[in-house]
Amino acid sequence: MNLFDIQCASYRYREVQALDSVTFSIKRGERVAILGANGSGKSTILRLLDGLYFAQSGSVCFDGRVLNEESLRDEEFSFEFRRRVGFVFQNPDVQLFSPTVFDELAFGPLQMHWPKSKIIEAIDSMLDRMNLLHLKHRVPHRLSGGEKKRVALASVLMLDPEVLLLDEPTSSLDPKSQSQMIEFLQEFQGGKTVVTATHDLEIVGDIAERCIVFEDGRVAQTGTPSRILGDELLLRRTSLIHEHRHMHGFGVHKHPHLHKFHTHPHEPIGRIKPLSESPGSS
Amino acid sequence: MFRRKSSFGFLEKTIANLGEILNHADQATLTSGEKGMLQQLDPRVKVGGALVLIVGAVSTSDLWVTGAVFLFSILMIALSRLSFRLYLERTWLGVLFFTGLIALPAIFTTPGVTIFHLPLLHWPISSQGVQSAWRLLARAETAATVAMLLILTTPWTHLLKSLRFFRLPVIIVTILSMTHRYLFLLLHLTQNFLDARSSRKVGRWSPSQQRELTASILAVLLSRSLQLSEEVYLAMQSRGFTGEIHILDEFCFRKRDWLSMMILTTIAVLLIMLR
Amino acid sequence: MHIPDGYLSPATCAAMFAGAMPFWYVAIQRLKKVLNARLVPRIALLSALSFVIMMFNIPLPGGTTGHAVGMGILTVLLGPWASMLAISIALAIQALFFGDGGITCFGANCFNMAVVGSFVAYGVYRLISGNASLASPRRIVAAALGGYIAINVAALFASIEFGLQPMLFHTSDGAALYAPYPLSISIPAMMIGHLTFAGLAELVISGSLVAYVQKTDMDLLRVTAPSAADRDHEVIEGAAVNLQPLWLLLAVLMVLSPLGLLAAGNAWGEWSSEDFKNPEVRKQIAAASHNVAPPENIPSTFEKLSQVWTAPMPDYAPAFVRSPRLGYILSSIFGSGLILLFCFFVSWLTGFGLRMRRRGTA
Ligand SMILES: Nc1ncnc2c1ncn2[C@@H]1O[C@H](COP(=O)(O)OP(=O)(O)OP(=O)(O)O)[C@@H](O)[C@H]1O
Ligand SMILES: [Mg+2]
Repeated sequence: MNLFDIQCASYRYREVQALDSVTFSIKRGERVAILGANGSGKSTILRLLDGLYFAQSGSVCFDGRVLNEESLRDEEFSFEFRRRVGFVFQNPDVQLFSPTVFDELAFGPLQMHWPKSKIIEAIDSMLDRMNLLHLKHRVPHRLSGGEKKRVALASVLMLDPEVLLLDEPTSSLDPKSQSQMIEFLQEFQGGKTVVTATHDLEIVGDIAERCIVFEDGRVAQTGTPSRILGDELLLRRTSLIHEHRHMHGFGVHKHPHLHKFHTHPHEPIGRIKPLSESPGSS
Repeated sequence: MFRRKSSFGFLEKTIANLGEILNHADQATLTSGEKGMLQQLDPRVKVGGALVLIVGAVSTSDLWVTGAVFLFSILMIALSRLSFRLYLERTWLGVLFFTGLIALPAIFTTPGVTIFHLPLLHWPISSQGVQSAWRLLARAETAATVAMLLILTTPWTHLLKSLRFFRLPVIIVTILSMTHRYLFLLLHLTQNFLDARSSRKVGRWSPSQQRELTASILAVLLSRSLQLSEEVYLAMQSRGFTGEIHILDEFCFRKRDWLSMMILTTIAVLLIMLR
Repeated sequence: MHIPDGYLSPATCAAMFAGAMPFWYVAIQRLKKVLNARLVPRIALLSALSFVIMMFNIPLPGGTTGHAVGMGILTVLLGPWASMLAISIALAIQALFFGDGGITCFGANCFNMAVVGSFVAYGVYRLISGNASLASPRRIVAAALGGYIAINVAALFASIEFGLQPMLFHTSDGAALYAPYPLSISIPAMMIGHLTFAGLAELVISGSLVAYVQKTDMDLLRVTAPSAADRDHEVIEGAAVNLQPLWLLLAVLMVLSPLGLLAAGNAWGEWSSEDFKNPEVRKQIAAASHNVAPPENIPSTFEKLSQVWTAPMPDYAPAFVRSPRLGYILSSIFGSGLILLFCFFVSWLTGFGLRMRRRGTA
């Protein structure tokens, strides 16, 4: 059964049509990557999925129930929904609004009326699990970008959500933290639904079994990572890859920049002569 | 030729203000982590104590009491391993300069028994005037010293939680902490803007251009603030916030807290009796 | 305008806390009742913005600079109650974290800048903007003047609090226990700086930021413009000025101005016996207080003004009623009245201008 059902959903900010009649669905336990260039509507669709914005036309359903202002005003449903769905924002600064890391992690459980002792216990084990114990009493504005991302993720995981919506989880991370994050996301899987918005093609294969490519607020293509990553035309059209010019020795050549390890044939399209060979010099 | 004074001085002054604020915050984080005496106390005791001392120093008409409070805070500076230089620069001289400037004319303007005439100008200095100025200065210095002790030995987050103990509504404590948290974001943002602007010294600006520049920077800050507030709201909502706020109070009173509480109460009673 | 500790007597501080308390209480109750969860982060962020605005040196005509508080823009975006909380919180952080502005004087500072500032700004803004459309330039004028007048009335309150100190709290031989200057010095000294520098800074900030909001996210102005027409070309009933904010403003001024008088209690009698300074000394004050306009003239003007109020009092009235000090206070109320009239005038003028323009284009 589908966990999320999005039917012809549209969303418009004041002057920008961010989503234009988007239709797709996400199954329970599925790992989905939402791909798209900057401004293609990735963050917006995640906000619709998290019931923060509501489709202005069309509908978004979660577990058979439509998400709109009215349904989320129903306290029981809203409580359940918030507990079951976690959202890590693209900008960790908006997510870390509490005075310390400890308070940040306590925020969700407090809203869910957990008892105090359980909260304190859970925070410690979460910090331990995420390798963040040394940051427990830090104030958020004294964290590095990568640390902020990890704390933001930890604060969302506190409620142990069954659906995780991630907005650019690996941007602004150094290669080591990036691979740590991916490892963590792979571990975290286990029956849970993970929807990741990203434009980083390198991680797609590791975090998703299905990709949805967005282009200007519309779904351009859906498919397995290998199919999508193999479709150079599509990737080029949606600006996910760009012409990459670089030099090998003295030859300059172009090939699509795939953001992943690959080999490519070297047929020089131009040649720069070494200085000693150039006729004018002496 | 007559030259106007530097036309980007106004930016530099603002940058200096910001730098000072951020610097102060860094310093407070450092000093509150030291292993001094006041750092070990419960923040509630410190807040209560600072209040008692400041109110005492301000309300007594006996300058000796104010002096005693002042000496006590100087002792505390030493016991809490705070730097005297920092204190002198940041608090003592600052208050001396500001309040001194305000208090000085009172020497001449207060009517009373003339004790001295200023040479050349023949302005009379009254004994009452000297007393008034001296009193103002003594009170201001003492209160500022106590406040500084509290600020430099208590991490902000503890200060914040202790406010809950003083029956401040949860919603206010929450807004207060959020304000403090995003204040630093805005301050850093402003600093970046201004540094970019002032390093790009594109000729001299007329006052109206300066005004436009300032207004445009503030406009960007405003739109950033509003945008952040909207997103923070979404992030809070996403984690189950519906307007009702719950926070975790986790303080426990230890023996030394009770002890200092008792000492404080004694001081308070003494101050009241001495009045 | 941040009053440090030691300048105000504990009695004044307590009175100011007591004065601010009901406003805080109502503001918090309203916040809870509306339970507009969105308001929580918005108040926090705008409060932080107000803090940053206070850091800024705003360039003014003539190469000078001034400091603003942000009362104008905060009130327009939040309404007076939430703005009052936001400014109070910014002041609390300054006092508690940066030692800027006293802890005992926190009530007084909040009362002046947060409570009085927000209400005056709101009253003036509503009065001048009337039913103008959200995009109307009249809203810019309204916010700018609202900010200007608000910061000045706030400064007036602060200067009255200062000025009352030496009269109410002094030793038996006449030395001041707290702030040493009487109203005749504190009012002009404070107001000159605010009528020019700080006032203009607040005016520039409030006006330009409201103009910016009009361009980018006009809906934000709706909070304080319940009856505004949506689009510029819609007909505006310019004459129908909502009188509610005026009543609010007047009530605030009426209730608050005599607060100092009440706090004074039994000390009033002492005034008349105290001898008034001779004019010569006053001349020296002027020179000594870094050339702030010669108070010699201002007190005499005030004295004349004060007679307007005190002269008609019957002889058998208690001595304090005829005191020149009461005159000062009444004349500051009178001054607030003048400001009100001025607002009416500007409101009428801008409304008139808009009507003319519309008639021209029609
Ligand atoms: N709060 C907003 N107000 C107005 N327009 C917005 C707002 N947020 C996003 N937009 C616009 O909506 C479109 C989609 O934005 P969205 O944030 O969903 O893109 P995105 O795919 O997440 O981009 P990125 O990769 O840069 O994060 C963009 O054109 C953007 O400019
Ligand atoms: Mg995005």
